[in-house]
Amino acid sequence: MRVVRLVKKAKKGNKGALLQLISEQQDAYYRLALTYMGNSHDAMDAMEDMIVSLYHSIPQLKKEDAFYSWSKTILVNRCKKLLQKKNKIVPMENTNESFEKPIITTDATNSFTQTEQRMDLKDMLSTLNANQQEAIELKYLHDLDLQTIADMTNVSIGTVKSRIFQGLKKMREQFGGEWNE
Amino acid sequence: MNELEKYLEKESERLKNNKAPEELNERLRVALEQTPPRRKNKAPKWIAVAAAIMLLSFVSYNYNAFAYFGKKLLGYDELMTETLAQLNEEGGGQSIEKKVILSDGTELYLDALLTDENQSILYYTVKNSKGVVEESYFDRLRGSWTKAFATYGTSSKNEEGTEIKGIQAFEAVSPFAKELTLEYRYNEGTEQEEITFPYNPKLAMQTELKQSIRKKVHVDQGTIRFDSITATPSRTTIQAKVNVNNFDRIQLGGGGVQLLANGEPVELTGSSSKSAIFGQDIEIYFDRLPAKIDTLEIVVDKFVGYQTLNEAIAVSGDDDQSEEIHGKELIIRKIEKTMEGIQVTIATEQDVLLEGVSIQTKGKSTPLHTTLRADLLDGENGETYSERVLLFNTDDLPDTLSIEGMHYAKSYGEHIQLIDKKKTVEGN
Repeated sequence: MRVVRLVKKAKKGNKGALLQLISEQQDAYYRLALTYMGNSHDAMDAMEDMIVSLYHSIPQLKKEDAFYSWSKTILVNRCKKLLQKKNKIVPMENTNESFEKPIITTDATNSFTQTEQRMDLKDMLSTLNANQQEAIELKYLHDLDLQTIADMTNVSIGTVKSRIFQGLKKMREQFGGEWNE
Repeated sequence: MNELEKYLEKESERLKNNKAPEELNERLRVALEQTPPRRKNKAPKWIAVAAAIMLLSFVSYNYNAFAYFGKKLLGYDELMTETLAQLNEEGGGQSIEKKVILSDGTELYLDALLTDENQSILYYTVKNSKGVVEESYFDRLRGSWTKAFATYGTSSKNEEGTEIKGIQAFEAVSPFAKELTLEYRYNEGTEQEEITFPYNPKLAMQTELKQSIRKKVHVDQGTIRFDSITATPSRTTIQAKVNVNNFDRIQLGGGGVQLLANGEPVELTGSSSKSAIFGQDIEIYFDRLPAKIDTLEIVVDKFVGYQTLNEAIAVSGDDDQSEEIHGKELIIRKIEKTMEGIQVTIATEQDVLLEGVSIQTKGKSTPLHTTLRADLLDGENGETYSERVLLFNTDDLPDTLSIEGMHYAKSYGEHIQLIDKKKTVEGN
């Protein structure tokens, strides 16, 4: 497998191989960083941080084929670190149901018309708590698997599942019957 | 999938139009280039080393300079080399006695730090009654004029799996550092934290020998310039500059260089290299020198060499065809016709790399297109083979396999005398 080969090279200290691995999913990394950081400048800073961090910790990666989920977990952690430094967010553990901090920063002018009602994803997500929002974004907007999301958010898979379930349920309740099965 | 999930999927598709800015790739490249190179660690197998032959005699050894470390470290016995065990006996090093609690409740204890001009060695303990994972926890030590990256480490877990005792080595720290910040990580490196503790540079162990060498050794494709030797209680380091075209074509590195003290080899514990302007800076590590030295010499026993071959081997078509080229075994494992072209699987000794490989069919020659795979395999007699699959852009099965030359671990046997107090006959 090509990825595994590149990862093995990167483990030996080959910077070119690491850069190639990142470049191949550059847009996905960027979107993920952008979700957390909110602007392009900070997102790119976070990715710079990430690549340096990856370079040093890649020898510790045991499963080479898990490179992408592992590196994205590191990216998310770097983003959270940077945000903490900027005091932009309260750490996730301290949030509660009433805490409504939208993380999503996608272009608000984009919307999706379902039946007659203009639905805006940002508005919909903003009704959820930060943990539910994060889990749903990671799963549906960044196509990450549950294990990776669990690693990123530092909770068990069960918690991730429940956050997604509760979040989706709440969105359905809030935005009417057309979302039902 | 329900309506809501379909909607989210559409949103996700839409988000995918959100592309990274063009300058991102360049920024990442620059960030990566500015990162200092990670050391290639040929880490010693500490436990094996400790159990191996005792090379150093400490009988007459007495060093009063480091009687600072109030108490001996307990529980590290099986991890320590003879040298480290001895330093522990003598009380070299300083206590840290700091504890941090990781996110899953695991407790990380920093027990002690042993430093000298060659390296820094951290003794640590990891405890969790629910079980602990053996992983590499440490990144680097930071402080005034200090950026000491982690080099090698070793650890062992107790039978219940609830406690790890470990030793982690870093590069040397500066004598100007008054406190050190340790950067550590866990969860396969996904979580990173740091901790700062006071450091007393006066408690660093004294350097026992430091000498510049300034001698050149010529090899097939360039020169090795030996610059200096620094011997401290924890290690002996030889620094050299390598300007050899084919230096990194084989894995050997500086591993074929020996250090002889009083005519006996000092144990090689590792080597590292990093690229520099016009070549590579390499460091070769040996164990501590004996207390009394009459003679000390460097021997370039083996180093990368190049042999022109220009040989054509008739391919029999059988599996595992064995040939000898310039005293080295070449096995043609198999030749296959695939969708992509002709695949030839060959195996050689680990430290042999062929140059200018091509195949010929009815007078038509096809050069090597690419190497698909390279693996290290164990042979029947414990030797290690390097096996690779070569791809040629042709559909015709070959009559011959041509090789222009090979890079290999060549015996040079060059000596450089560093100390010679005994001009008469050697021996005890």
